[in-house]
Amino acid sequence: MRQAIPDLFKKTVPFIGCLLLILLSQNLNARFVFVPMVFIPIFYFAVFRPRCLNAYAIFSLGVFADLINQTPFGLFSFVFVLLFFVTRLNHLFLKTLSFRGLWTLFSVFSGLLLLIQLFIFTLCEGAVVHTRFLFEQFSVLVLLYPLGMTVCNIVNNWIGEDE
Amino acid sequence: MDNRQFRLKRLKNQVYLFLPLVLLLISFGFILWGQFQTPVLIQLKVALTDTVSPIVSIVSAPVRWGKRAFWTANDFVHTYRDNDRLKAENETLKNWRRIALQLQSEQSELKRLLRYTPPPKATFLTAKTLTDNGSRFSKSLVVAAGRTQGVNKGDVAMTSDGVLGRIVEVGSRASRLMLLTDYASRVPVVVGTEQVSGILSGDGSRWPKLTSLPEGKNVRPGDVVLSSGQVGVYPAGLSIGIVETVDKGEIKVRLFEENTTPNFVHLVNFGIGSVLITDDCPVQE
Repeated sequence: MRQAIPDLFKKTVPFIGCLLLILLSQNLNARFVFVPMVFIPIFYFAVFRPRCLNAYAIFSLGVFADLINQTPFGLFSFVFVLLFFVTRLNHLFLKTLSFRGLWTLFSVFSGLLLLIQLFIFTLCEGAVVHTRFLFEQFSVLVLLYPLGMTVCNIVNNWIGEDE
Repeated sequence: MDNRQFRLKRLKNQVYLFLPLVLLLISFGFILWGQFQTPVLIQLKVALTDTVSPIVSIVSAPVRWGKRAFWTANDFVHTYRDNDRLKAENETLKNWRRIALQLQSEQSELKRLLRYTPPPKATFLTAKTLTDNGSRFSKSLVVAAGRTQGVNKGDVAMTSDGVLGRIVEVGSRASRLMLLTDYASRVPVVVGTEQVSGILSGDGSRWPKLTSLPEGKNVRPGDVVLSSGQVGVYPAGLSIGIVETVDKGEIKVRLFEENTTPNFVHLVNFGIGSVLITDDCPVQE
């Protein structure tokens, strides 16, 4: 019983980490780095440990990001859940891949998701976002993937094995 | 019993597999719902901004300190250069002051002759900025002042350099201001000495663009852009920026206030009857 509470706490760490990323992005010019950075833990935990960052958690993260950002409501929740769904559908295959393979597929998934995000935004706001921004966001995301993956790996190891 | 457990587990797995699909549909519903800008949604956003702003302020304190330390060091390095620049600027401003005083006396004389009725006096308050929402999709700031402090929807946010934007959501302790660079920002303006009417449209970039200009009217780089006062969103005559580039029909305006993340902003109520204030949004009580 004494061990149960820290274990439960440990499992909420990925969620709290994502929440912090979203909150931190509220005070930096480089917001476009932080909100899509949540893609990395969503992808990682959807492949390796979906219980720590499940669909409900991801959906609530998205809704939270939608509410505190001045973006069309539902945009982030849609994109976050879509990433989780696509990753979960392929998780058995993804688990067999090497780091490079995962990196490549993450790049493909995130690129497509950023395009979808851009498309929805354009439809909702009636304003076309510069594709340069999309490219910047995508590049940062792909370049930061190894760092994000390492952090997620450390957190995953720290949480330990499921009972 | 085992069979029942197995069936229950299978059902659980199926639900777990389709749950993201349900959540995707809900999110899609949210997107559609968000398009109607329902009062409930606006209130929800305002309430959350109100609640989250102090937390964000605490969480991002180390980042803020880091930024401040960087800028302090930067200022320190450039002290001599800035000092020289300020001395030169001061000389220029002294000349402008003389001209301004002369114009002021002429203007008062003309107002007296025309029996001019002045507009209501503007009131303002200064507020600290809490968060900046400088994403690629939106450009807004959250300021630490709300209804309690006397902020109203439609108040113009300014700094000593110029107009920054206007208040679009008001909570009890915090408000959100939309910057001139936001995709949704549209400001009726007049350009240059010919007073050419146009719309200043934010496009997410540093420099908003001028649109809806009348045919055959020329706008040149260096022309000053002022608010026209039409529609009542901004009062007439506010200095907004200067035409920076005219390229293949696209006219870009460099704003007088280029720093979109100042530490403090003045929220000015010009007392004009604005369309923003008369709409039936529930945040306006």
